[in-house]
Amino acid sequence: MTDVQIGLSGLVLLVTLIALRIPIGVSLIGVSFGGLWYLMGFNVAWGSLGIVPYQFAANWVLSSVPMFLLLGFICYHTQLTQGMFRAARMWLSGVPGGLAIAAVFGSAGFAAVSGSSVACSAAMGRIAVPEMVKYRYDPELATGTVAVAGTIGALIPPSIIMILYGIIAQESISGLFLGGISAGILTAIGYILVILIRVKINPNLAPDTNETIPLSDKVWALRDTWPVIMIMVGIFGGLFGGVFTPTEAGAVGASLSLAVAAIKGSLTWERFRNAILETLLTTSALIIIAVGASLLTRFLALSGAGVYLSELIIGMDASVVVILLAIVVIYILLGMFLEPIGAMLLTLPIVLPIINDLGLSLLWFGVVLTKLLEVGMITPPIGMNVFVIKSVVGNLVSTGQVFRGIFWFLMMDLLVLFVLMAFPEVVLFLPGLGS
Amino acid sequence: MFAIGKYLSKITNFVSIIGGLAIALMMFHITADVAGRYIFDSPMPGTITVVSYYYMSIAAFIPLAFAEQKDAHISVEVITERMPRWMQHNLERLALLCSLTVFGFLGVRSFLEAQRKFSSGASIVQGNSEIPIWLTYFVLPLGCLLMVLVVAYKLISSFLPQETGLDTERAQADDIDQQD
Amino acid sequence: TNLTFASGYPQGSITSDALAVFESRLDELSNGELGARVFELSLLNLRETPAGIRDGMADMGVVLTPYFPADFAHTNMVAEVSMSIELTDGGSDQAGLVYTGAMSEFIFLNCKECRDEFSAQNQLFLGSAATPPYSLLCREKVDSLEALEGKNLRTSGAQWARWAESVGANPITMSVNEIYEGLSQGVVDCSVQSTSELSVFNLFEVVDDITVNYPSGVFSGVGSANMNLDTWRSLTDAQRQALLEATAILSAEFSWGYEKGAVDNEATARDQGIGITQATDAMNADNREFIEADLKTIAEAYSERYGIENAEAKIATFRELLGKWQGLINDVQSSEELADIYWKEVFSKVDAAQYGL
Ligand code: NA
Ligand code: NA
Repeated sequence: MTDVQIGLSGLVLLVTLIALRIPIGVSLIGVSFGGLWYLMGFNVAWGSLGIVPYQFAANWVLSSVPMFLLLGFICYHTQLTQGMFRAARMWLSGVPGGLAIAAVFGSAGFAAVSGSSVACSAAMGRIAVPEMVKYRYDPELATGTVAVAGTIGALIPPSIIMILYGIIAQESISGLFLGGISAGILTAIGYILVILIRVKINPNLAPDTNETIPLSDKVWALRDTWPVIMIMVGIFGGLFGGVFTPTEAGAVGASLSLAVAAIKGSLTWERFRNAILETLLTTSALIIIAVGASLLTRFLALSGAGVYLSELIIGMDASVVVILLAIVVIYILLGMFLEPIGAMLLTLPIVLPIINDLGLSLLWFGVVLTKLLEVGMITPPIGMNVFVIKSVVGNLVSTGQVFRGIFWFLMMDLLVLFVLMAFPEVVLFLPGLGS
Repeated sequence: MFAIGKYLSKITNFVSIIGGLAIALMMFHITADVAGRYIFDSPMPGTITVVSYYYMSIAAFIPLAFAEQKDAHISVEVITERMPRWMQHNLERLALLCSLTVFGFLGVRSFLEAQRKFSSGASIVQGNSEIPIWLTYFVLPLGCLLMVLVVAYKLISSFLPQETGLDTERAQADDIDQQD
Repeated sequence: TNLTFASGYPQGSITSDALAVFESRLDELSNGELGARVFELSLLNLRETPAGIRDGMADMGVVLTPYFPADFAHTNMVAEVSMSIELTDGGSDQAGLVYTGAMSEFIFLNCKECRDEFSAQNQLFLGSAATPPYSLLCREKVDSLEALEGKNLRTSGAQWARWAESVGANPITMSVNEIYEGLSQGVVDCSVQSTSELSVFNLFEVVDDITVNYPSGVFSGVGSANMNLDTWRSLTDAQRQALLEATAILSAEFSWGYEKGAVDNEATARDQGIGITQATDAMNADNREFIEADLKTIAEAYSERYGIENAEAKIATFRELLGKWQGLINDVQSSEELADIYWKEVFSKVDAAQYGL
């Protein structure tokens, strides 16, 4: 077998193991270890096992994930966000899937303070899903919505992916950030449309209250939204006022929610303890998968499979449209297995020159690429956002159900991608104003 | 067997307290650093190092067994859920066997690495202070060891008729209807 | 033989260009016998690199020794005295090129302990590299000692942290991925880095004023081409010789790239209306005072923490080399010229039939 064939066989084996219900982290680590062994010899595989897992976890920027998880769990257990959802329920009564739409807005809000989509889903998952399920929303719709809405986190600034892309491509990061805002908003609109249409067609997915609520009750309900507003003002103010970085936002937000819960009088030792323990369970379950994904990147790098895939495009003597289509296909394929940064590092050395040669805007491509990589966060078999949601909601749904729940959103993502690619002005409009 | 399960649960529950402390301290430490830097012009020295190397490694690896005990490790059941019962049972055993192998390897390897870091006294310089981090390298092998124990126990129990005695109840995972 | 080379720097970076030259020159010098397959950030990151080379995940890689204080104590000690370049006659002029030469000579030819520390990690040193002098990359003008007081300064090494404290500023540690956001939102007021890093981390948009070559000091704890010992030993003498020639070129390309980056970036900064501020005499005088005193602190700290013997004498030896190299590097005009100097003065003196065997 050639190295590339070994790499691709590894992927086939990985899918098989995951289908047989072997835990995902175990499948990833096992396949990567075996693959490195076969490819480079035992010492390399053995070495990687000693280096990668520890170095991956002992990472400052990664600390935002448990902290955003904790923020979500504290809000849930001390019932800080219930008032907000009750108000949303009243004000959005009559709007099909109103709460799901509110969850998309919530994610867009978190997107503005977190740098990654995992952090964004981590915070929103436990806050929004149980509320929707409580009002008899279809669990697949509820979990799917929050899993996909998390991807807005990497599109709306701040965004770790865009910063790294800006550094690699030497593109303006603030330009990318501005371009990301339109892509993020477009994505959010797309998701809202999916919810509206699906619930319109099948109202059982999200039963309405079916009652007319007097305005005075609606206004009165706003009274209970103050905890959320306080937390939001604190996080936004601190981030944009230069008090803390996006990495620190999760920890500060968690402390803030703890303080607000204390003021509200809903903070008990029991609830705090449960929030902490749930954060712990989820963190550990997610990081072992991410460790595996990181090992898989090394295996695929050494096998040359990523390079091989992207070199297929170079070999093509085709029109711009066909080449762009090929790029989309390749990133969607890679995105099935790799985390965004790994996929980016493996492919950019080949893809960037192609984009340059075609005379396309690198800024525009950076935004499109971010969107493409984020699609990978929700596609099976390795969809980190899906795992986050599955993990934070526990036994309420199966992983498969969350994957099913994203299907129509995924179709919308492809449509949004088409719009971003066919009408580059959508992306380049804001950066153009900025410069 | 039941007694062993109870005992294992006690151990994992105990280490989860250490993990919980890491999470809580991470929150307070980062917040204190932010407050110190912004309000008092004196950030807490070593925050990034302590958070990354101590809290993060503990939070990531110590609860592996705790998560296994609570069935919190993520897998995809789409295909297997349509299989007959006996086949599902055997696949569960296969999954346990795979976990046992992977975490066994990882545990041994990371222990060797930890020993190396211990003998070289690995540390990190942050600001002007030097913070030892060799200790944190032992967290991964410890987490793996506990994981291997729980997985091995589950594997053996799967061939026996009795209850496992493991505390699998998740902290209020299903209390959604009770609140409000 | 195809050598895997793991770089912890992304594609398109200065290192990237240097490695491309290294790749083609190695092929030439070894008559096609040795090739390098470069992985940029996709195989090992900077924190994983020394262990990755040790275990053979990569044959070669860029090792930043200050990330591992206990493992490479001797190298780190001489890297940490880099602000002392301000006490020499040449001052900041092409300081990175000077430091690379002095560092390479020190480790290859003068410091057995340094080499032992590398071989304890199953690897060997094949050349150094350094950045241009550190400057203050700031959100607003810093043109006096008073302006420094209470400022949050992002620093990346103990010497700069001590300097920041000495001027009444707060040293802040921040990962490189956060500098952009940190400066943009004002979490830090300045980042203490070389101006070459304006483009490396894309900071033009978030910096408004630069106090150039102040407080100075270079980042020089770099093994630009560390190699797995077993791989090195498996090569023929001729191949090792070719490799030494190629790594001399890599050291030169690496440091020259950063030097050129600094010059270009300062021009770009001017074009973009970013202020270029010179430190005042009072600032420089205060700085030199700090540096003098700090040399003692460094020697004491390293002998106390890592048991380095004769620390002061070793630093003195190194500073002599620094003075010598200040004479050798005189307004170098190209990376080729620089590579020739490195080869002639240091790398050619390493015996390919003996070194590391
Ligand atoms: Na964001
Ligand atoms: Na995926």
